[in-house]
Amino acid sequence: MKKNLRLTLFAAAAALVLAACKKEKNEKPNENANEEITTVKLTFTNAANAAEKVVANWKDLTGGNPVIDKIVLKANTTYHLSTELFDERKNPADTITHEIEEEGDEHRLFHLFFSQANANVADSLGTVATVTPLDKDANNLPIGLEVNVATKGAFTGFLRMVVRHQPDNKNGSYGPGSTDVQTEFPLEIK
Amino acid sequence: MQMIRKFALTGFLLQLLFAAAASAQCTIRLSGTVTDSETKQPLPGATILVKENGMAVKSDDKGVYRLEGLCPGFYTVHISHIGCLPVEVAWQVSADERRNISLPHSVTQLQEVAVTGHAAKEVTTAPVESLSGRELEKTRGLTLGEALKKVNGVTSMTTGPNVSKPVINGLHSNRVLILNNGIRQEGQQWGSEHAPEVDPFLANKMVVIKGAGALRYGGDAIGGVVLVEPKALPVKPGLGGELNLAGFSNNRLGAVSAIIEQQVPKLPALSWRLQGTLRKGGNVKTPDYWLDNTGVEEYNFSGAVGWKKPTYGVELFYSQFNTNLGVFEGSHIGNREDLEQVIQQQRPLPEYTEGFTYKIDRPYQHVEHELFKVKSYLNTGKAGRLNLVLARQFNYRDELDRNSALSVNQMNLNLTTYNGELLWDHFSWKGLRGTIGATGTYQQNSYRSRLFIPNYESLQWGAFWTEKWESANQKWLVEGGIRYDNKQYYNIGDNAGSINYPEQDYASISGSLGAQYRVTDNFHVSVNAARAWRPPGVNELYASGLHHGAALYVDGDPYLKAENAAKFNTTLHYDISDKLEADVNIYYNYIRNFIFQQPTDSIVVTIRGAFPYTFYRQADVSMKGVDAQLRWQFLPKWQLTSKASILRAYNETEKDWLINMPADRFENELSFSPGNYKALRENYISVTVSNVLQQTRTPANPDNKNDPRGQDLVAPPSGYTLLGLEAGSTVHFGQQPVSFIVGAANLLNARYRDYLNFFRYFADEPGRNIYVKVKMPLLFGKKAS
Repeated sequence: MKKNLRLTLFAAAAALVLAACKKEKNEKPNENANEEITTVKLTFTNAANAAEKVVANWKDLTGGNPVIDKIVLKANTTYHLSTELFDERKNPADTITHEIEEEGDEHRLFHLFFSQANANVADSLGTVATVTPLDKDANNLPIGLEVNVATKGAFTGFLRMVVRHQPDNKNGSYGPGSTDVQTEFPLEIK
Repeated sequence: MQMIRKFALTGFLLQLLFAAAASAQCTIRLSGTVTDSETKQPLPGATILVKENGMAVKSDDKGVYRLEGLCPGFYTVHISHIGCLPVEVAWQVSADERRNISLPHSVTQLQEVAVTGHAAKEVTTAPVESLSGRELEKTRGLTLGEALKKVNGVTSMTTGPNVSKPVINGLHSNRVLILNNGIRQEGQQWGSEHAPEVDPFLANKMVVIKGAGALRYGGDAIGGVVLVEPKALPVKPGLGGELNLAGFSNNRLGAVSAIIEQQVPKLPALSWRLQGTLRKGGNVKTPDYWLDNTGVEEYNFSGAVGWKKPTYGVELFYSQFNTNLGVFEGSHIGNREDLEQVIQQQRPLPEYTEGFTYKIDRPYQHVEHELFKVKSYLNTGKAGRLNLVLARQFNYRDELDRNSALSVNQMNLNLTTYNGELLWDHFSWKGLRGTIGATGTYQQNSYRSRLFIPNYESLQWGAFWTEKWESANQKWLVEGGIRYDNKQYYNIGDNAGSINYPEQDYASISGSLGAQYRVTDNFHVSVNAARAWRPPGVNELYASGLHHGAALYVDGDPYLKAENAAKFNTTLHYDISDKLEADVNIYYNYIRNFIFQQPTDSIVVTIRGAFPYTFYRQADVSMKGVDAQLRWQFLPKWQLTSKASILRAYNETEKDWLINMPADRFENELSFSPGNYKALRENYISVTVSNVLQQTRTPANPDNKNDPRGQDLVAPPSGYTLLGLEAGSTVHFGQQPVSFIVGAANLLNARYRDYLNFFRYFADEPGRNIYVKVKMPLLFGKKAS
């Protein structure tokens, strides 16, 4: 009995010593974790004339006050649209686009058109332009970093670029997963 | 002797080096009436003996006894009278209590001694309710927040099935103090998805003090105080313990908790205890679907060592709480649109409702809480006792979001708290008993990764004085106290030093005054008035950024004023013998500068999309309500217990209702106790019907008064009724009693949502849950009893 007791006490003391809390050293890091993406850059290249480019940036270097360029495109024209994401707080700027390429089977970019700002996804318009993805992930599903945009008639509204994060359940549609990036650009097609 | 004195002194000085909270008050009075169980007549001259300290008194000619000057602790009280069978009552004492004891006649020779009809009542003017014994056993395996729902007027605010916080009469988080073994719990209490880091298996008793009168615990308890009290260390020589097991069917959760304790026979002053709990559960199932990634695992332990002499004593306590909590993936929303999408679907996406597993994936929370405490006392002659408590707490919290290469997907918070308390209890002096004390707290927070709560330091100190007076005939009880507190926040900034928030300094006085009049032995009236104030919490002052769970942008206001509350309580107690007992508590609480999160229709544009902007603001609010309870033994073996809790919370500045307040609720329990059957004792079977109404009092949408959603995203869910069934028994295997409880919560597998659950937007509450609980005392060798 006595031996058992000593053993119990010893075990208990050992447990107390070994199971000490995982406390962090109170050394404060001296830099802030960046939100990592500051800039979305859309580059439209006229498929018929490679010299004709339209570049639009969505840029937020301060947090909360983005500077957003307006996109002006020609009607009834096919553009090659390339989407890039950067962290411009780093020097040189960090290209986040690579991370999407690497995890292509978990991400899907959508380019959607709306007549109103911050509208519901269900209200996106199919009549503005036809978007055809050009890139494929390991499962042969589109990623959307490189697409063709074939504009139709004149239009004034918004182009929304959404990066959906769809681990395990990417199936080509918008529904699964959740949103990593959502930016909206004023758009005019004339 | 010299050695011991030296040891005691070193111990005392050692503690001064550390920097804590509440502790022992050795001014407790236990009283009541001893009656003959057959004739119901009072028994004069009965002997009431406290076995642990040898204190003995005799009941007076009205059968009234009074034990004075007890310290909080666990006592065995032996009551004897000529011609009656003696009775022993195990009594966990933490405050003044009244308990009537009926002694059975020896001629009737009952096998089992029926001790007392109703539980001991704390003697105080404030509304106090406690859970202990069988009532507490019924909550074993549940989280603290869920267990406290047994107390009338306490609801819980939840974020899914695993995170639950107590709400006392509509107030929660920063406004409710939780004292874990006498120490004020210091975690990241501000978050609605941050459950208290407390192992409920530690408790032998849980006490809820409603209202602001509990000055000794802090002047800022506008909502109330929850005391989680372990059993006092053993005073009887011998090795003993307890084993608790609990199993739940819904999420296949199992819990094991064991206590082993000893009063070392060779060293009468020394006793110790070790306690540990393991809890593991998997995904939770609603009536129609599983909620993926809602598993939980928890491993906690604690140890205590006490050295107790008649004139001084020291107790060391160490505890650790560790948990991994799965966060339902369907609740982890990328942006506002995702949230609106899932609300429209009425239920989570199929990929988040696949099936059962114990595995916990991202997103999840990992939380650790460590408490180290030294408590000591020194008797100062016959006049009183000096108490010193010092404590250190570490709280570590990791919140890991979904895996994403594209964003900062975790938040880490590190909170260290030191506190100290020096108290002097003075014993009865002309009927007055009281405590004078000073408290101090230093706190430091640091974060990593995502910024939401900045780095800060805070310093708080306070001093208080409370007194209690009881008239010699016990008809009148008067209590009062006053307290001063100062709290400052400083060195507030982000990691890069690019944001420096303004420092703040708050100070004010709180006070309470109450009186109780015992009209007759069966009818008491108490009134209590208190003024409390609360400095704003760190989130209310300095939070800034996206609140990911809620998909809201939250902005603190560093220039908020302190909240000021005036609270009035009237408590009525009425009983007719053991058959009928009624308690009613009526309260009115007026809070000036009440701090709340105001939704707006402006949006903040971020790389993740647009988020609604909310900010902390202040308004004058009033909260009034009633908690009523009736227990009626309408037939010898049948008992009906009815509870009602009603609250009206109104924003007086805006002339509108307050958001997120508990709806009216009612509970009825019918229980049948068939008596003993062979080795099966204390048998019971009960049916519980809980009824929660729809919350219809919510703030209106200023643009459209008829919008049922008001300022919320969806209208409050409909009311619901739940049925529960439970049976219990104590089986004696020889000398070994083992208690069993078997039951089912949400027996009919009802589909419902609760207004105070954040998951109401997209998922149902859990379905039927069948449970088994076992409690087994552990007896080693020759245990004196």
